[in-house]
Amino acid sequence: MIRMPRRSTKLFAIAALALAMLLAGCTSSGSDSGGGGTSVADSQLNKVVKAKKIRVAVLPDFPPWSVQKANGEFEGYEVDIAKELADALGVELELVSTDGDSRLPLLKSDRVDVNISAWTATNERAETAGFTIPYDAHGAGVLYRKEDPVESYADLAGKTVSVARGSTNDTIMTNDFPKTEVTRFESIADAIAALKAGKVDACVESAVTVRTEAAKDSSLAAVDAEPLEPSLVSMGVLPGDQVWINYLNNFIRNLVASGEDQKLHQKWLHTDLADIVGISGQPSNS
Amino acid sequence: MTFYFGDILPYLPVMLEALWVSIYVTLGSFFLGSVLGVFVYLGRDSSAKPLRVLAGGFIEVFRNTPLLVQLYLIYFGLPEIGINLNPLWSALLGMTLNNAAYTAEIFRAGIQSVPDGLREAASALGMRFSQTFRYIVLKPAVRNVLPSLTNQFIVLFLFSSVGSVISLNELTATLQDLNQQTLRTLEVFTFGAGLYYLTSAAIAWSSRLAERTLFRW
Repeated sequence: MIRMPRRSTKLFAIAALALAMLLAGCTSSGSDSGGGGTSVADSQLNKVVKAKKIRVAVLPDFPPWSVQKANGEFEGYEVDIAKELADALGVELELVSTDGDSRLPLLKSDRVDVNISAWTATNERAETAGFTIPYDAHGAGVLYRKEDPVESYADLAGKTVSVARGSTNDTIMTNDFPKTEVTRFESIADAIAALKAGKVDACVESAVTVRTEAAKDSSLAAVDAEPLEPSLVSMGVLPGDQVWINYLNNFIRNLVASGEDQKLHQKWLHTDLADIVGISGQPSNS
Repeated sequence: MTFYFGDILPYLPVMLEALWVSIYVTLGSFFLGSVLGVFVYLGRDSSAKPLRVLAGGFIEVFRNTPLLVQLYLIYFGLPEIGINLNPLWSALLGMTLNNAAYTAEIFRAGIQSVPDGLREAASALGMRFSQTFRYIVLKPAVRNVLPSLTNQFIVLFLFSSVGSVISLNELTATLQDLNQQTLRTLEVFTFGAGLYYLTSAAIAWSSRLAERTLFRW
């Protein structure tokens, strides 16, 4: 054992004290963010307008909703909606990459103002996050290798299935398919790679992703059936910030009513917006 | 900011089970990797050039690429050539090879620190190379580098969290699942960090104990 000389003990104490003060400074300055008050001044809406910038969380790996290209830029259906939102507010748009697990933490740590990240507004999630009215609806599909076919959803019993951790598909499989073994991956790309590499029997992802992948890779096919558990996709914000939710609800109602939402949906997903999202007019083509 | 651990306490058995997965993957790959590491060192220091090149190349490849990428290649890449390993075996293989590369370098430092006099004395007594290495050189060499080996053990244990990307259900993967179920991000990861800390501290403590008991003379 080596005895520490006195001087280094003192130095250590100074360093520890400095670190403690730094930490204390961080927490006191950060404590007023997060909670989400209800007054106009406290609202995220006010912060966005003041900062002249809106920070939107989007998924980097969910084409055609949203995907990050090799040059770092994002494109897709939800990215276009984010652009519309920034235009409506007259502020600059900053896109922040997120995954299924980080959507709420990004809001709580005040790194984004709103999630437009294919977030399905389930009742469980609505206990801890604030959701707007839906701008889209989608369901899950099942992708399999042609050499090892899956005939129907019921056929999944006793098979292994890959999902993206924290996705709605993860919840569907865990809750409604108790006889199926669920294998979780960090991203949608990894979940599909696991299927291609023969690690699992099937991959459960959004119906559109499944269709796109089946069209791209001739060794894969999608189970031919109606989408599994259609669900509503909403923007997500901090719970309790009703002023901000009201603004976004109004924005989405206008997006749907003007036909813009339908136009973007057709552009990226090549299908009509689900009826449940709202009655839309004709796009103005302007 | 409020901490509420009530939501995650029911999941304690699940977390401990996952911690056990992290621990046995680390234990397995550390011991297999360390034994392999001794042979890699011997190869690198051998008089046969092909062996030297092979062992040197092995060390360079595994030290100069991230474990994350190695695991991806083993798990997603090997099936292309017909080797389809499950997450546990993929993690064990990747971490063993990775650990072997690092410990080979640690052993080299340790063995070089053993005085030549000992080796000369052994050969004067008529011991063969393998006997000299096993009975004379290895023990003081390991003793000299025990702190470095402990360090490597802890690093490997913390690295086992990377196994979550190939769907190995170790502690980090389970923490991410619990985070998603409870949405108590701060609490889940604070608790998880505590579990990692306690385990690493236990490893460090055992190492000091080993230094005082196993390697005394």
